[in-house]
Amino acid sequence: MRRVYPREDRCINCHLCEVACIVEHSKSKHVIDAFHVEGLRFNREDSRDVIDPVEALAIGRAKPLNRTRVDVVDSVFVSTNCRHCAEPDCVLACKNGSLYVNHDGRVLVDEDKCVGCWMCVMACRYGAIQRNPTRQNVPDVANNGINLHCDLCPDRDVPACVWVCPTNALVFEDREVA
Amino acid sequence: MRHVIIGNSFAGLFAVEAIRRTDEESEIYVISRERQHVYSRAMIHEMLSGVVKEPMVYLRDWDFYRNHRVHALLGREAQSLDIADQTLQLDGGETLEYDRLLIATGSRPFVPPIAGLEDIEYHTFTTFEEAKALKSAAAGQKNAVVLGAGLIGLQCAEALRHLGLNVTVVEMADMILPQALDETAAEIVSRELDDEGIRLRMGNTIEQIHSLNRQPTSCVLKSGDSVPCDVLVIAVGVRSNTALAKNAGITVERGIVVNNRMETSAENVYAAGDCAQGPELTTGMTMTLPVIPVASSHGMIAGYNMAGSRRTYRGGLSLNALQFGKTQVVSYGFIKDEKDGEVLRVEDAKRSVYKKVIIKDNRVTGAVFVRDIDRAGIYRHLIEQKINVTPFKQHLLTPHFGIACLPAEERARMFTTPQ
Repeated sequence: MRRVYPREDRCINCHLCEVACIVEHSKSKHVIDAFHVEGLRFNREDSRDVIDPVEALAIGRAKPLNRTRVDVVDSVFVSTNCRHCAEPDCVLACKNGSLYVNHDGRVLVDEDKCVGCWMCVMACRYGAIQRNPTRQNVPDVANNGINLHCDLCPDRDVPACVWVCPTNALVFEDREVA
Repeated sequence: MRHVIIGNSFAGLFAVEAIRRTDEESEIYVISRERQHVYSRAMIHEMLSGVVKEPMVYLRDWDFYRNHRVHALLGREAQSLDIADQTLQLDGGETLEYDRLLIATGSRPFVPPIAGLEDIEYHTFTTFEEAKALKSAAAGQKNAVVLGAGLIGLQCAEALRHLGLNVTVVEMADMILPQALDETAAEIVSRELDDEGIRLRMGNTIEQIHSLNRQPTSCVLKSGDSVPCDVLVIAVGVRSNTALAKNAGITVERGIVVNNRMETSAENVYAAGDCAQGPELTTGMTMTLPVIPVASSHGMIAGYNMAGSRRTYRGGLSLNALQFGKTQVVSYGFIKDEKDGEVLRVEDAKRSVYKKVIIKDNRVTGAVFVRDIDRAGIYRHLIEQKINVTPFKQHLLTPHFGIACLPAEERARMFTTPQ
């Protein structure tokens, strides 16, 4: 199965993978509308003290959520997202079976079933799962939302993050298990 | 080849899937005392409060048994096990032979003796049927008392409160969730429960239950107060269901003892989930760990081994994700055990944020996150892989902590090959 792999030595910390991911998963599929109409992106400094995506949404600083994320410390840049594990920890932990391994190997979430218990956030050792507060299946529970993670862009031949990367720091390949 | 699985929750479910991934041919039987399609016991509080639709509690689609060619004997019970003949006696007198047996019988609520308890209809809260019974008993009532402030007790209390009852939780320990949280985290969750109007009576217990016509009327506490009570829920803890294994002569301690292939002391008999006492990762000892991810992993490993594909389990970790009110909590390992350890802490009382890691011998042994839980799973990796955190200790618990902080060889292991 083809998966997205980062190449750290090529990443220049431009965050275009995040932008492409947001646009691909937006309603308009238009970059300016995705940011300015569908959601306001807060700058990185602001985002540090916004702890809860729900809190961010409430104070009008919600951004369209990116499923891939450039992780930066000192001079290390690495674009990280869901590994689509063969035996995913998130599926083993999901408390109502809303996460599953699809027949094509992708790890997906049933967006009408997820109750936002965040067992998946607890379980994922890659830190690849986000909380999407704009969709709620249990509105009676405060700060509810649903699981959000990479879906490998089902409508595209190559995921948007890989397609957009100007330095080929992301590749979409079928690799052997080490 | 015939696989027989006793139990129809997480462990049994993942065992079925692992067997079918390895072996399309053999027969699979699933025996369960409960009549329901495979469902999640972790959803029954949400079912009780009515915040979720019933289909959301089922773990797989309706055609799950048919697609996996499973003979589902639901509403049936295995009464005895003969490990020499490899047979099970079912209720109704039938005998079922097996080639491989998985015992995934889970746990049951423990009910302590209390004066007056035998005179009333009390409730426990671990199954679908019990949740339905509690829901009909609570209808039109005013006052509920929950004995036990563990996970089950508090989730039940929150659901009853949601239904509009006055709820009092009585707990012997001086903090809530004594198994899962430390004092600071428990304090934050307690405030949340207070805000919801749930009364917490810590360091207390029920001494006497007064009743009329098998209905409780009030509970007298150790402190001397009397609490009005129309519905009583006992949630002081669970015990592993081990009788079947024990009576068959299989080694049982707190749970059914299994090795890292989930094999019991009897040949061709495996155990998984809450009833199994398997290897624990941080201590190297065996213990029962009644949490979903451990039960699922147990079941999966057992399933592969039953089907002849040899797999070993790296060991379980006590881990949980809880939510009360608007507060989410994620915890890993034994977070109260700070002895001989270095403790890093971040506290922001204003937003009820609290994070803590415990480091022993350069390795993280436990961690807890309140409210700020995003990417907490990376700490699970640090614990499970016993990664030396000294080189990047200054980044732990900072808002920017992430994959980039890990050593280069660890990042390569995680992100350059399929997982």
